[in-house]
Amino acid sequence: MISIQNLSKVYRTKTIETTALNNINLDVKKGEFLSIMGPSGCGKSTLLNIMGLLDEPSKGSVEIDGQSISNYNSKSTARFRNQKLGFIFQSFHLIPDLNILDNVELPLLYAKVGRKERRQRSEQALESVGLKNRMRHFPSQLSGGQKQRVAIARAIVGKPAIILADEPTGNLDSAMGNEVMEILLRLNKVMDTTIVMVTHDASMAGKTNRLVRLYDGTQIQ
Amino acid sequence: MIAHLLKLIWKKRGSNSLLTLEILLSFLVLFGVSSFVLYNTSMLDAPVGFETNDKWMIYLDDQIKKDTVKFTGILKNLKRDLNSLDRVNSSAVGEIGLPFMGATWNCSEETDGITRSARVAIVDEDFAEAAGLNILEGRWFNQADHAATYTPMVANQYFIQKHFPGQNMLDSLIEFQGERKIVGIVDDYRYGGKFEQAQSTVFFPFKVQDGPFMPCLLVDLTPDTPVTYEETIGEVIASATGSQNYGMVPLEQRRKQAERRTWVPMVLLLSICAFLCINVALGLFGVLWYNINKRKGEIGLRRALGAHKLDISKQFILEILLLGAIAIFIGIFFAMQFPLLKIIDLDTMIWLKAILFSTFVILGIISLCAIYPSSQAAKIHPAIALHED
Repeated sequence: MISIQNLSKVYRTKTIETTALNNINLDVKKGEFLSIMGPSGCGKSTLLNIMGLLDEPSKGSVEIDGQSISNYNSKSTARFRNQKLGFIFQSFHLIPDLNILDNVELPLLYAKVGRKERRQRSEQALESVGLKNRMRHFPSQLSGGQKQRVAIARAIVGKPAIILADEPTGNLDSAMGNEVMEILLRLNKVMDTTIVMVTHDASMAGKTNRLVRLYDGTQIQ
Repeated sequence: MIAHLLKLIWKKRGSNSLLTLEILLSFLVLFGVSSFVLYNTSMLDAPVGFETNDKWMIYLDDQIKKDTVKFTGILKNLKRDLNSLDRVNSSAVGEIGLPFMGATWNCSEETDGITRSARVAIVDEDFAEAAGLNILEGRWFNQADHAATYTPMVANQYFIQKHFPGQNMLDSLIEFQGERKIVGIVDDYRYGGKFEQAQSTVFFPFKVQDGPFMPCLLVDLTPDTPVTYEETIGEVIASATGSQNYGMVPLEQRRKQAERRTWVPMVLLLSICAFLCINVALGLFGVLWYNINKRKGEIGLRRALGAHKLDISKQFILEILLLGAIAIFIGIFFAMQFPLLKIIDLDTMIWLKAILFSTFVILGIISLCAIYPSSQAAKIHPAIALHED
């Protein structure tokens, strides 16, 4: 599903050159739930951003769903993100001025899905995370765990093949973290969605199919 | 997308209402100033009905009018002497309604339940020639009118069209300050100059004993008469009136002075308006810049969810344009009351043009202010934006 070959990422300023990722090789199979662990600043989020087409590699190649992304222009990249990828962030990234339903609808808005279908699919996604009764609420009216469930609903509403989760339980207490993890595991199992999750939490990583460890931008496991 | 943006606007209605109010007030100020400018400039192309080049106005000493009989002779001799000068084509006497004279006399007369009103100009039989009036029908006053049984008058076209539309009024007798016969019809006569609206004007023959004002003389000179010729004319006036106390002003100079009285406030208002627009533009630019910086996380999120760069810049431009459209819509509602309720009696087209002009200027300012910050928003790297939030 995701194939990364000899991937390196270097950040350059006028005076400093920082290697964020160094010669990473990684294959993620379809339906796999992979977790990436490592200390802060080891390049986990950079790797996830490159997989999510939010950043570009300095060297190496990335293939997603059999397609090389290096030849994509910015428009194709945007379309690819919209159709194939779902994102979950540590800080939820919900738009505070939109209610829950409108937040979940966002990916469908960019996919130019009609209003009625948008509403129907968003309600379904919210139902699947147990928040249909809260769809008129605003993010400020929800707990952290509920916000992350809304973010999951937003990630799955477009039925993407891959979900990229950047420390989805990082801002939650263990009970809520487990609740979110259960939803992700269910998605992986029931819908066969490929999930790549960055985490600091070994117990969460232990629930996934495979663990990759990074240290100073290098893959050590 | 519009509904989605309206939701965002509505949720921030507190801060957005201030911005809308700013745009609305700018629109109304622009509408007021543009109406004023359009009204004045709409009259620029229409002829004033007289000429100003190579014509001089002469103001005589008040004292010489004390003896009416003697004054009649003085005026007659003065005109004769002036006309005998090689550079003088003609000269005319008038008491009121001469170009740029300032004093006006408005009369109205009710006949058969119909009220007719007009400005009156009291001038002599040489005025049409000296002022270069365009006679459309009939003739100007002449010496024969003094002996006639009727009292003559000349009307301008506006007077005929307003009070006797579609009628042939030449040689008709009408009741206007007594029974008068219309002996001629002239083109519109706007003696206040280009910035004066066309209005009904009638010309009555001048008689020395009639009016309370001191008559003036209008002298028509040959082209390119030098200013130094004033001395020659002055000698003639002094000799005919026995007084050195007189005034002489080229009519062209009076025209410029009169027009300046409209141009100056117009330019001042336009300058204030331009200053206001610049301030509004800077304000909008600042607000947009602030909003974009505050919403970096949202930009990153939208990019992650599938928005293209163009979608991002389009969103910010549309958001501010929608706010502007709401303000303009309210502004148009207020502006439309002027032609609908006839608050100020102006041509409807002037109001509509002012509304259109103000709308385009405000939308133009908004678009210009939105383009740069929005393009910068589109350039924000999604990964950095998501990380910063």
